[in-house]
Amino acid sequence: MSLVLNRPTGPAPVPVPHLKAVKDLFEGLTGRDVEIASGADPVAVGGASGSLVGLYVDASMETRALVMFDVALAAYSGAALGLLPPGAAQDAVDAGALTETLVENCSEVLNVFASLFNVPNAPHLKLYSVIGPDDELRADVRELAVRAAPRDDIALEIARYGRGRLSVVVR
Amino acid sequence: MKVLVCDDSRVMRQIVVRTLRQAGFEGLDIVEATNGAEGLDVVASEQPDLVLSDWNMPELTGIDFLTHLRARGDATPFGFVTSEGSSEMRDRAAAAGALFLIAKPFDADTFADTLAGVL
Repeated sequence: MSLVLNRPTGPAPVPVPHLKAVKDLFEGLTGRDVEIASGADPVAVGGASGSLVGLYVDASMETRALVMFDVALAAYSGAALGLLPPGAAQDAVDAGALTETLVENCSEVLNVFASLFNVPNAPHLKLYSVIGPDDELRADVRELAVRAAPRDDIALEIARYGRGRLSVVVR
Repeated sequence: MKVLVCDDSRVMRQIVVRTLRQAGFEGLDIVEATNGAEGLDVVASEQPDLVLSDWNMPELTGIDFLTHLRARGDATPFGFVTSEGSSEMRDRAAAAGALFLIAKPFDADTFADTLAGVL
């Protein structure tokens, strides 16, 4: 009798990106050194939190991942991407409100972030929408945003700009 | 040399143009479009020497932009600058007639190496 090994069937799960890949992505987009660490407080979403939420869907338009930036990371990464001065980002952080340009720039960071989910054999994801702090969060998005796992909560500092947080959750 | 930069993100169009300059491609005549449908019109009216296009865009995606161009007999050199870097997407791009695919994020060296024989 031969031994039959159980082989995995179907696609691989959507991966939580490696810290190194996240660091490389921010360094590549901003052209600046980035310090990164896991184990941060989760980014709060909805209401007046100021967070930006990227919602990623698979080919059948099912929501498979969320990436949440707190207001600081949204401001610093959006400013660094567009070569805006650090002071402009700091003003937004102090006011707790992102300008249209910062939201637009940060949306592009979230767009490129999709590439970190797209590993061989995993479902192909793309950024479907960016949900701003003033937008209503769907109940299923809110439920996914606070799931315990699989996720990573990351502190990230962009040189000359500042430190913020992002949370990634997949299903 | 005229280059069409097609991307729905204004900041990414700026970054592509800036990176072209950093890669040593000076004095280019840059025209822009914000999606594939607009890109088709701009190619017709401006007749660029190269199209650099994003993949995921509203109205008409980059791959549909390229397919429409080739279907109407337009052979303008075309490359993608996109977050879609998987081998499947690279195969689709090549099959549709793209010369190259540059994955975001990119740097000036990548542009210099990839575009050396094109610009």
